[in-house]
Amino acid sequence: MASRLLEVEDLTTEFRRDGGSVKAVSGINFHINKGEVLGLVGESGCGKSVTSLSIMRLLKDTPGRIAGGAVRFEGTDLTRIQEKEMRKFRGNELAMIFQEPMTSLNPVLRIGRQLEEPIMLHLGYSRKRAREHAIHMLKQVGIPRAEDVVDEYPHQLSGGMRQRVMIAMAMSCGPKLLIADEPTTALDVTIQAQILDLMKRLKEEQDMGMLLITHDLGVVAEMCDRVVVMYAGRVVEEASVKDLFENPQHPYTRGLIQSVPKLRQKVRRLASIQGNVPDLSAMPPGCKFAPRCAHVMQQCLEREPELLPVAGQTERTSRCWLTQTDKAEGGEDDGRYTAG
Amino acid sequence: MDNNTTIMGTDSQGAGITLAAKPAKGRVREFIHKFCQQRVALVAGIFIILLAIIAIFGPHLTPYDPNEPDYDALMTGPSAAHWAGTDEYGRDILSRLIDGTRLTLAVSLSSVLIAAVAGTVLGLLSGYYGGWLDRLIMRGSDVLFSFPDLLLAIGIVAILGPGLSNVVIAVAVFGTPSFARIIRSVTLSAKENLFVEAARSMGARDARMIWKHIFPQTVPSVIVNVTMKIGGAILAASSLSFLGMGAKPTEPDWGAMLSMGRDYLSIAPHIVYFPGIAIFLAVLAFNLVGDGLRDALDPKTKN
Repeated sequence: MASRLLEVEDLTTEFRRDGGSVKAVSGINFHINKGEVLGLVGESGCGKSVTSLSIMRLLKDTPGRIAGGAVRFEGTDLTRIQEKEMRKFRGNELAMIFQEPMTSLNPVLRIGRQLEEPIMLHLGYSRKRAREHAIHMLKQVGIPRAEDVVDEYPHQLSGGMRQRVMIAMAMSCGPKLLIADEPTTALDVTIQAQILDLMKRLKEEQDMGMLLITHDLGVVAEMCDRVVVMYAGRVVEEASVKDLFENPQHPYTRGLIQSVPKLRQKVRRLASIQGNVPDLSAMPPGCKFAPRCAHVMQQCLEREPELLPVAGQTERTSRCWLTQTDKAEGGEDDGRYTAG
Repeated sequence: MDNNTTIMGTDSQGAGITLAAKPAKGRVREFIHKFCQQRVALVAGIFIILLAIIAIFGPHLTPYDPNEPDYDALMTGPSAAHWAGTDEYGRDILSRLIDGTRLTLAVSLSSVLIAAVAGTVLGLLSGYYGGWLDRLIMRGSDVLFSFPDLLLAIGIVAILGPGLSNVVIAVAVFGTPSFARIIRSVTLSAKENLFVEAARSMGARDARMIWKHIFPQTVPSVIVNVTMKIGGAILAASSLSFLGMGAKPTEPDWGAMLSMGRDYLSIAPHIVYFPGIAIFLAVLAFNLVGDGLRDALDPKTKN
C-alpha cells in the first residue's frame, strides 16, 4: 500500500463563543497517500475550511483552537510542534491556495517580491536567484510575459492570472502536500477548467499529494482519487471517487449527487436536500443528518452511528445505520474501521 | 504603458475592486482630485505651505532683526513701519512671529512625529500579537488617557525641567496613546485580509508580516492622525511656553510672546493679538487639512 503523507486522527477544533465553545470539527479521521488527491466535500459551514486551517495551524487569529487529535505529516505531529518549527513546514512542505484570488495577493507589493520571499526563506536563495526561480514558476503555471509580470502589481492581473500566481507561489518550494481551499469557486467556468488542468499537470509532474476542498462535485469527479464527505463537522462517508459516484452509501452523499443538475435530463425543479445544517451549538443527539434525512428511523434520532466500513466493501466507510444494520445490534466497538 | 487599459481588457471581475487594488498612479490622482474638491481644506493646505515657506526662509523675510530692541518705539501699535506693532522692548512683532514660525512648527512636528512612530509601533504590536502584550499596551494607554493632556505634559516638564526639548518629549508622550489605539484597531482589521493569511500560509515571519503586509495598510490612518495632532501639539507647546515651561522668554516662540504680552494687555493689547491670531490660524489650518485628508483618503466618500 502507498505510503502515508498526511494522517488526520480524531482531529477536533473548537471555537470559543460567549463562555462556551462549539466544535466546528469533531473527531475527524482521514489520510492522504503520497501523490494522491483527496477531495473534501460538504456544504458551507460543515468544517471543511476549518479542517484545512487546522492542518496548517492558521487558527491563531481566530477564536478557534485544536482541542484534540493529531495531524501527522510524514510522521511528525503538526499539532505538537513549536510555532517556529511549524513555519518551516508552511510554504515549504505544505502549501495552501485560497478561494479568493482577488484578495490573496498584497496589493502594494510587486508580484515578484511576493513570490521571492518564501523562496529565499525556505530554499535559502539569493534575491537574484529567487527572482529567476519566480520567473520560472510563473512560466510553469502558464503566465505569458513572465519576465514582465514579476514587476507588476496584483491589480494588473485578472482573477484567473492571480490564481495562477497563487499556485506558482504555493508550488515554488516544491511542497509535498498542497491544500487547495475551493481554488476555483471564485473563477469563471472557462478559467476554472484551465486552473484545474494546471493543478492536475503540476501534481503529476511533482508527485505531490493534494487536499482539494470543494463543494463542487464536478471538480471532485475531475480531480480526485478518493473523497471524504463531511457533514456538521464529521466525516459521514469515505470512498474512492468511482465508488462514491456509482454507489453512494450515505443518504447525505446521495442527496448531494442528486442535487447536481444533469445534462439532457428534463426536470422542472432541481432536487435539493431539505432543511439546513444544524446549529453547531445545538446539535441533535443522534445522527446529525437525521432531521434532514429521507430515510430517518427511530434509531437515528437516539444514537449517532459510528464511521464504519460498508458491509462487503473494502476501503469504504459510512456513518449511517442503513449501511451497517447488521453491525448495529452487535455493539458499537466491534469492527471499528482502521484503514491501513 | 497604460495600466488601466491592459487590465480592463482582460478582466471582467476587475470592476468591483476597492481603492486598495487600484493602480498606484490612479490612486494618487484620485486622492489629489478628492482633496482639491474640498475648498476649505485646500485653502488651509495652501496656508500651511505658506507657513512652511516662512519657517524655512524666515530669517530672510523678517523686516527687522527679531531680537533687536528699539527703545524709541516701545509698545507702538500697528503702523506702516511696524505692521504688527512692537513689544515692550520695541522689538518688531511681525519679525518675531515670522522667526517664531520655525520654532513653533519644529516643536509641534517633531513631537507629533515621535508620538506617531512610538504609537504606531505599539499599536502594530498590540493589534498583531494580542494577548498579554495587547492588554499591557492598552492598559498603559488607558493610564495616560486618564490624565488631562496638559496636566500630564506639565507633570513631565516638571520632572524633566523646562526647555523646548522637554516640551517635545512631554507632548510626544501624551500624543502616543491615541496613535497606539488608532493603529491597533486598524491592525486588527488589516490582519483579516486574505493576503495576510496567505503570506502566513507561506511561512512568513512575524516581523515581515507586520512590516510588509500590515504596516502599509495603516499608513493612511497615520498620515491623517499626524495632521490632526499637529494642531493640538502647537496649542500644547504654546501653552507650556505660556506657562513658562517651554521656550525661554527671549526666544520668539508664539506661546512665550503671549505670555510676555499679557502683562501689558490693558495698555498694548496688540502684543497678544498677533501671536494669538497666529496660533489660532495655524491650529485651525492643520485641523482643516486633517479633516480634508481623512475624507480624501476614505474610499467610501465619492466625488
